[in-house]
Amino acid sequence: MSALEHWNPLTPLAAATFLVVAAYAAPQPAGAIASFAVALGGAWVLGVGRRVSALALAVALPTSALLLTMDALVPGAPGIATHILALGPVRLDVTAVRVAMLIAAQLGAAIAAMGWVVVGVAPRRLTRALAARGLPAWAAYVLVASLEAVPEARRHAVEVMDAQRCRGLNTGGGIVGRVRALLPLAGPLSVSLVSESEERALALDARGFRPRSRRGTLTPIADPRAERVTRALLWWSSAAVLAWRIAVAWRGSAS
Amino acid sequence: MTGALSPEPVVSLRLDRIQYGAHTALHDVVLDVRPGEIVGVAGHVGAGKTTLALAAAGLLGGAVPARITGTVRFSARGWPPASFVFASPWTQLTELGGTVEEEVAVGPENQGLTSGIIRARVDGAMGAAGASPLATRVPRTLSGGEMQRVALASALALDAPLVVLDEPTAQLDPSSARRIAASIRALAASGRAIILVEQNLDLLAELASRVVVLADGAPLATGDPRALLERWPPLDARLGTTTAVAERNAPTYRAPLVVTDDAPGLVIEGLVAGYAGRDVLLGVDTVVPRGAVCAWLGENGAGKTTLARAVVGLVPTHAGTMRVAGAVLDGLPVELRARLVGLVFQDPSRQLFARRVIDEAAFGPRALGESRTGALAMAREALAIVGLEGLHQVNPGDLVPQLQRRLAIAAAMAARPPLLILDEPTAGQDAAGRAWIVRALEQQRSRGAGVVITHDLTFAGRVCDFAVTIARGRVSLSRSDVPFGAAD
Repeated sequence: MSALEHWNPLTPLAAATFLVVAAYAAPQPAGAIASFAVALGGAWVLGVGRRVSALALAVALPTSALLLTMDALVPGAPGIATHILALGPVRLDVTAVRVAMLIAAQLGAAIAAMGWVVVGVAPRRLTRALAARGLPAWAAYVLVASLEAVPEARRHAVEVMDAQRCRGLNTGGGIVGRVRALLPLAGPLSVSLVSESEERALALDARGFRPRSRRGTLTPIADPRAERVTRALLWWSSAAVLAWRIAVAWRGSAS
Repeated sequence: MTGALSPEPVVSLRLDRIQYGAHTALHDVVLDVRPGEIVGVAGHVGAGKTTLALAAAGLLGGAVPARITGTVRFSARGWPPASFVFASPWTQLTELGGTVEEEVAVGPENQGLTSGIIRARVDGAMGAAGASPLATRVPRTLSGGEMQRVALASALALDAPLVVLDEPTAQLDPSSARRIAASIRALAASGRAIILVEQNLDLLAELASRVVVLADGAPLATGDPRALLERWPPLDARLGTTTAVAERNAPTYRAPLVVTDDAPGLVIEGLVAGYAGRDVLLGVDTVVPRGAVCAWLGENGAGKTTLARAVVGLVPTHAGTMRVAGAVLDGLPVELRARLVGLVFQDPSRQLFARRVIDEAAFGPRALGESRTGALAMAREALAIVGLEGLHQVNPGDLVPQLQRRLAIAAAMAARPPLLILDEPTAGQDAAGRAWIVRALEQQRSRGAGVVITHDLTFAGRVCDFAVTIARGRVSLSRSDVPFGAAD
């Protein structure tokens, strides 16, 4: 169980938002890399390190590799670049490396920070916490449905696959065999997901669901004073960093 | 809401016509339901029962796009005006709750109540529906019957003045069904109006003061259920209803069982199996002789479905052995077991994926190596056995659930496996549908053996040679006689 389960879900959300804002506001790669490191380190401290790291690195590493490869293969403006690598037509300049590092670190930081919430906080808990802050019913449902969409689709795929295997479909034979077996699933799976969403809508209607109403909650989520103060500091800090970044950009464009 | 008894109807229906696209599902309905009254709705598959129920609960026109000509008036001003229990337990989870009690709380939460009131509603409703022991379970992991109890609790938690129940006991074991019947009676006694859609006239006769029989989308008769029983033969195709007495007196399809075969249909010895570190089956021993049809009985969640899934290889086994028609199943992958075992899941809509009925039925034989011509011939034969020969070109998704279930049976039978396992085959079936399933099982006798997982003891008594009761992961009772009918 993640340590985040003991917190009000809005607290890690505020902290994650601050890290994302800090990563994107930083003009130099060092700031974004620092945010990335804090987000990754925080994930390990909070007990969700393995999944969050896998998610973040799976995006950050290919992104930086792709950006560097593109820069190396596509010739830039002549005469202004400082090449750190030149092998025939393949050239890599310092600015490109900095940009690649900045973008990869920003993406990595965003994923790692939001990963705290996505991996460590149960969607329904987050929804309850947001509902307590006035989130309307439709938004709560959209949030839960979005976060549940992937496991739901996976469950459906397994059910349809099981049914087909029970009638003799061989889904083995390596990747090619699996893909060949899975292709016919795409149609029925999409249809069943659509019909399931219609059934869900009817089930919600039957439980008195009204999109714009404010919902109650069976188990209110604790929100101690210390967390409320921390969150306020984090939100204000995020706003301050954003304001500073906009001011810097405005001053730069004015001069 | 527990309103005092009042002569004013809780709901008044004056329905000239209800249409889905160009199809008229219901017409010329006039119905008032008053506080404390239990009104039954019966009729054949496609008669318009569910449409009437949805209309009475105010659920048509939103998520269900229907054109209503006429009026539905509710006397109460609270929200929602009615609560609804659907026939299929799998389609009524909102997924807004991660545990059973959270799922049950969704309705009161939608009503914007305080935590204390929501807690009181949830506890009361779960107690009345027998769902309290499931409070911390994850809804998706429940058996069909357990899920239905949660659905009932969720409806009760709304505390609406009108409760509409569409075959609420179809998935339930007899003791749960009795508990639900008692809950329905208690609800009516507390002043709520009840509309109960049901095929079983025995239950309607026990509970309802008035029954509306629908046929082809219009009321055929209204009156006291006992009077209706006397007026019509209960297995009349127009009514679609059935009773234990009628099924007991129906022509028996059972030939005398002679056990002489050295290779029984199914042998299970010392089976231990389960999911992710939790063994559900703790040492099952049972035999189904060739030429026999056996009923697997037991309470909801006893392990019956898990046993069926273990036989086809969908649940990992940790000890024991299984043989079908002499062939050892242990270690065989699921797709190879398909030659030996056909399984029809509890929720048939989950196992249909082709675009046409004929292709659905031909899928199994094709996957097992039959030529296209051969597979189509086998599919046609299987579809004829369950009475779907006129629907070859129809999209399975367009069929009503009852016909989908019969299609799933045909799809499992098409490859002619020596063992056929049907999980709750009669849920939602009218008298005609039940007769087709009886016919399918009789056909299966000549091919090998059959197993019926069911809570429908009347049906089991009509078609099964013997019964095995499963409790807490073991066979607790095996009886060679078939004392059904009287037992239910």
